[in-house]
Amino acid sequence: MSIDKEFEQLSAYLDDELTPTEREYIQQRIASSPELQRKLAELQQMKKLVTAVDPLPEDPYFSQRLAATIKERKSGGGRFLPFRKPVAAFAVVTILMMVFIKFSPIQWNSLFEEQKSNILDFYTQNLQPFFTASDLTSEDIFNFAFHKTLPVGDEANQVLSLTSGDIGKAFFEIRDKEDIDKDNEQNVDMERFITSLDLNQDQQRNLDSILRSYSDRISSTILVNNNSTLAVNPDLINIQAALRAEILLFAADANEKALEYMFKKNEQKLSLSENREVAEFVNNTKFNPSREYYCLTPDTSFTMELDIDIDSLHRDLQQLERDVITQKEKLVSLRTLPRKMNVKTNRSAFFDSVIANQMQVWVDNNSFKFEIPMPGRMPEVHYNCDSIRNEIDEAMTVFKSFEFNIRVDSNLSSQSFHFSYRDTAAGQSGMNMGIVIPDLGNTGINIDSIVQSETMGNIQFDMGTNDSTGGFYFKLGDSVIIALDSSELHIELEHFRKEMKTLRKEMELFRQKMMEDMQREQTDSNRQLRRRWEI
Amino acid sequence: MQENKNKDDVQPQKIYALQDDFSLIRRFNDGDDQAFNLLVNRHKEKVRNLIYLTLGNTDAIDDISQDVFISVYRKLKNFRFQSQFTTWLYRITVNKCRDYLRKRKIRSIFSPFNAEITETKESPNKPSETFDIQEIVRNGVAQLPEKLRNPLILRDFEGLSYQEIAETLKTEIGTVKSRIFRAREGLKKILEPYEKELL
Repeated sequence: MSIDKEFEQLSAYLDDELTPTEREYIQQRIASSPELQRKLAELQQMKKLVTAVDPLPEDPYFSQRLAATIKERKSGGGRFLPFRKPVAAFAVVTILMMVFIKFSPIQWNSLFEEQKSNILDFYTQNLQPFFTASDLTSEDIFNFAFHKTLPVGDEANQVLSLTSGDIGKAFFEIRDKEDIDKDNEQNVDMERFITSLDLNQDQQRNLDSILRSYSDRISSTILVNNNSTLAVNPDLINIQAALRAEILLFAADANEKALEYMFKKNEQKLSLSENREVAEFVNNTKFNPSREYYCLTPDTSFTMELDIDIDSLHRDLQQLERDVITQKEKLVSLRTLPRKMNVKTNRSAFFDSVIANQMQVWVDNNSFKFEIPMPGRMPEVHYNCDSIRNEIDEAMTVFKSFEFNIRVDSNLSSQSFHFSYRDTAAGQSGMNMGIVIPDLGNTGINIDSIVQSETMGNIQFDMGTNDSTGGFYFKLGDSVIIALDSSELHIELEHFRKEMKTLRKEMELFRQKMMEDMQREQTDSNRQLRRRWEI
Repeated sequence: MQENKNKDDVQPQKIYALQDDFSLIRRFNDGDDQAFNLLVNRHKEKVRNLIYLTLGNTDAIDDISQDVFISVYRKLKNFRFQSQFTTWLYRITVNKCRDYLRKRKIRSIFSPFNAEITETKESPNKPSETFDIQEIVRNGVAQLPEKLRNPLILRDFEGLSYQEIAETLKTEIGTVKSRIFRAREGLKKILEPYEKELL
């Protein structure tokens, strides 16, 4: 037996817990082992110390207190089963709720709906238009049609920008105006539009009327209130497309050149005026507004239907404009004036949260951006809004290339024809050329000329027809620097022809032969012209 | 007369013998609440001292003792008479002490600066001005690990046999023997700073 085991036996020996055999063995070992004798003495001392500890003084009232406690708890007044009470209470409440829901689903639903309505009421109360007719000038609305931006803020240094996101999605984004201007290479403004189309006063008033007719609709699509709710009607995208279509149709109607350019160049793509669905789209967008709004609040997002009385809104806005005119003298900011709007929440049309989840929001220091589904179909009609919007956008792209990039002016001197062109996109504006018209002789439609650049010194240009491609060309030495393609830039050629016609008329006395050649050239309908820029 | 007197002397002893723990439990289970009071009076001081030595000097002794006997009151109908009542009673007491220590430890973790739940035990390693030997020993015992402390207390204070201790703590007799030895060795080490005072 090991010494540790013998020590253990010593402890048990002290407690009289050994069998007779074990006791006899350990007694013999104690007698012969000083170490065991010493350990036994230590263990005896410990046992003696512990057993010598006095017990607590007796508590004579313990039993009475215990009896009182038990009696109290048995009678239910106390906490006899403390842990079961909250569990039982919770169980009872749960059962009661289950019974209530089971047998009174209508009341439960009404209770739920009531709470839901309370939330809606809170976030949709006092919704007001973010833009008002006074905020939006005709030029703002024009820019909205062309660039999909609306000015935001008193300083108008930010814009609300509409951009396309994923398929079927559109971004509503607050951005700095400078960034937007950088993105817009084709910076067509309303003034250039009017100048380029040579709009007279009546036409300008008509254009203004068209633009103003959209201001109320635009105003009703973005609503805000003091609870930091932002409600956006995705129909704004359709409004922008409809506005574009109306401006294009107006341009085609107002200017013969624009009409030719837009509708003869590509019959399939630019047939807006003949597309009945486009007309329906415009009418529906203007007069049958969508009531669906995407609402962003500080702690939730949801979609809901809002009934907006456009007529009432229009009256309110008109009154507001009058107030503003009155108040302008007092230098009162428009934004400080109270705005009221008749917005009625349609509670029955609380959309499923899954729909609301289709909305995504991005916020950083410089921009605020959120994505919502584009309105797919207009109510009560069955054409595809996406395809119509695309068609209008393509028409706008073509229209932008009309004249806004190439500005041709002409004047006449005794023996030279000056014209200038500018390409604002390329930043080469103001390059004027003077064409000295020599005696053309019997050169047919070929105009071999010497072109003198006023800004680039004396440079000889050759101008003539290209037999292989059927177009005009300008040559500097042997290099073709300008080629005119009739199929691509038909309208520019037409413009040029008219200028040349004017030139001929005014130089009729000494250029009779050239005029005849040019007239013969104009009547040649089989000629295919092609123009290409290689600058 | 002398015979009668002797008879009277024996009678109470005989009655008392009938009031053993099992009999009192049966009487209580038959609806005699007075039997429970007798059971409490018989064992309350053992329970209080067991708690006192297990926890050290604490104000919770009375609350824990009450909890122990309330548990006994509730569970007595399920007592199966397969072990001593004391074994069963001490097991409940040990478990109540264990619960209390666990709760106190949890509270100390989440409220480290709460003065109410700080340890009240005085360290025996730090000699105090007054040398109360009993207090030093009591605190030394309280400093032992629980698995060593409980068998030692049940043996040296309550006088339980190794067999009863094994049943109370639900362990083996050999384990009890080993733990009691190690408890005494541990206590000796704890009390070494007081060796001179204790001798």
